[in-house]
Amino acid sequence: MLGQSVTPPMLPLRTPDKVMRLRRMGASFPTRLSFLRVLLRRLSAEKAQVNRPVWVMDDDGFGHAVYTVPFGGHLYSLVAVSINLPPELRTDRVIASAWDTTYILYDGVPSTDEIARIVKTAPLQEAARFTERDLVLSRANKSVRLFAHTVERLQAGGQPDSDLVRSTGYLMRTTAVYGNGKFGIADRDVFAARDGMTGPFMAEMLTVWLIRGFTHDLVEHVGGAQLDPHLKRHLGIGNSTGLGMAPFLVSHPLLLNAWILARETALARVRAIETLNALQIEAIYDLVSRAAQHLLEWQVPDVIGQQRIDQMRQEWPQLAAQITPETMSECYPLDRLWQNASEFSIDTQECLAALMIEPFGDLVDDLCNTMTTEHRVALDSSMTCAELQALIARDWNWAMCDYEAPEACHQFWYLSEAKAEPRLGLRHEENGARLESPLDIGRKVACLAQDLHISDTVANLLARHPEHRTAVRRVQTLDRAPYGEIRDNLIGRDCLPIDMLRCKLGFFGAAKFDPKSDRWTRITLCQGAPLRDELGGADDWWLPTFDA
Amino acid sequence: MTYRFEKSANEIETLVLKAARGGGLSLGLAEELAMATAFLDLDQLAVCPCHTGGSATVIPTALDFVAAGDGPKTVSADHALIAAYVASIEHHTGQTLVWDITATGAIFRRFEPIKPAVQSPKGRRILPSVLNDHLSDMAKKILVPETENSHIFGAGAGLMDND
Repeated sequence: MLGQSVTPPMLPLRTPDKVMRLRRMGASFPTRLSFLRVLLRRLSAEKAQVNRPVWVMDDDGFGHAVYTVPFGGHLYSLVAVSINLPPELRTDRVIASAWDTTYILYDGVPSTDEIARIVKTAPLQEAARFTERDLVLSRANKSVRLFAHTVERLQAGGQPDSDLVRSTGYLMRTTAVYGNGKFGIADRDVFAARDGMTGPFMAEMLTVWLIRGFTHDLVEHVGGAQLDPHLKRHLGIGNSTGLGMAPFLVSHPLLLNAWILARETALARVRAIETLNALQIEAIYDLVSRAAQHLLEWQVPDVIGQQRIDQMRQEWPQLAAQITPETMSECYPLDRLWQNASEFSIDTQECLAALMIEPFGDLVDDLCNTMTTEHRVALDSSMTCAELQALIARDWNWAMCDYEAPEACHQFWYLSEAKAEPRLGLRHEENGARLESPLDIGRKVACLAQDLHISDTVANLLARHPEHRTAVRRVQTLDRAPYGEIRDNLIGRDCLPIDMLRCKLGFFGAAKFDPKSDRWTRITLCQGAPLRDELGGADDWWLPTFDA
Repeated sequence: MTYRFEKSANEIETLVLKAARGGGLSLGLAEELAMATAFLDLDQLAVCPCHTGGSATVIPTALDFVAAGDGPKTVSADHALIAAYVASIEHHTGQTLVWDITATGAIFRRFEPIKPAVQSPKGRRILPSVLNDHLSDMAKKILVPETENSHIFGAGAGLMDND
């Protein structure tokens, strides 16, 4: 029937047992389904025009500014506040109390009084209270070396050193982007149904993209000259992300399932393409070359991180050698390529997965509409324990181990008294395990399995053992949402939280992962993304390269 | 002068979740209570439910039995809290609970596969100051005291970033 959508053919999905392991999640790359890409496509489709009605900034770049953008039939404004921050107060940690710049994404156009309120409260961040007109709260610190260097060069009539721009990639780093009601800002429900805002983290992504533009404006203002557009495009916005992001993936299994399922479905669809046309083959060639250049430009101080990049650099030419006119002209060329890539490292495989999806927007972009979900599955207390046990036997083998063994319960997650900063402790060396945060999902389900009586119902079980309620819900949820659970022991010695961070950040659209430890990373967002005046049809910035 | 806090819905649910955990409720029961709080008239709450063995255990346990077809079940609990749990479970299951109010609580009779009357979450609202202080105190019980070792190593990040 005309107008009826047809689901594209697809090959079988990769199984959760393979996809939901920490090591593979920690090899995530951004894809065209990543939220920043979705946002920029939408802004581009709307031909959105960003205005800057307020710019009250002294010669040193301290003051405030307001940017306004129409989006989905609503107006949103970024209010940016810049202060003179003493160096000793500059930290990426949540426990910081002052920042170079602070931001509010405002619902509508703020009045003079509202701007004054935000200028007063935004610099206080968690110590202030905000209103329902404030949609997102954020802050960013300067990348001191590059910001100062760029100002100096611009003031001298030049441009910043291209190597420094290439190696740093941003003028400022955000250290938190708060949404969904934190500190009194609007709940997501307030605007989640609005056109353009239905996708995950759209308000946060809009904020981040507008902040990136502000950092360009600020350095040009202080430097007294314009940045070269090529350099400017390469200057994204940095971000420092720590443990605070990890629990989100654990506490939102339906959302995690939706994100992963969308990506896996996209991969399964492109693998099912029977033949490629010349333009599509050309696009694959270009992306393979671009990825190779991106890998060359991706340099990190972390030894393990750099080893992984080096291995990808080594493998990429071997992969590229398989992409010939002959192989691309065969039937199911992308599936063949995918099958052959199993010999390469997980990092290379995941990069290839993202690459294969990239040229096929017509085939996969509809999946963006499936990445938002209800919050949680209602518990089914009428289920029998026999049914529950069968689900555990089918889905939770990975969770069954001796959690008394030191290596199996090596770590514990907790919230510190200091600004409730999420932290990790060593169970056998530090105090505090009594108050650990409940990220030990595998252990909870293993404990549940020990208390199951086959003839019982879940209602009876939970009346006797209310402590198993979370585990029952997780088992039932995983039955419905098979990609909703990280299939590794999150309190084990081998758990590297940074893998969880990278998975989530990849969905945001982050690249140039720059791990600073096993629980903290810097990233770059919006690098290569269209500038405010480049929104006309610019969607080709997957793994951007400096020389492009 | 009595001070009152306007909080977002998410702040209220998060605060209740933490307070319930601080009060010793298991995570699952604390989550149920936080979900119900979305529908709770905070001004009508007579007794804090954030402790073990109280309403936050009794109500969901009774609802479990009724949902499993093992009703009716009688509960003694705060009326406002009962109404919140009922609204929450109807909202999340899409089924209608047949129940009666009693002088001390309610009788939950059965679920019927009928779309329930729409009850919207109460959203952003004012938290009475006494309740806010109480919940905040309870929530602090899940925080681990600061130590030098935790401060420096617990988050895995440096304390200064002037690069």
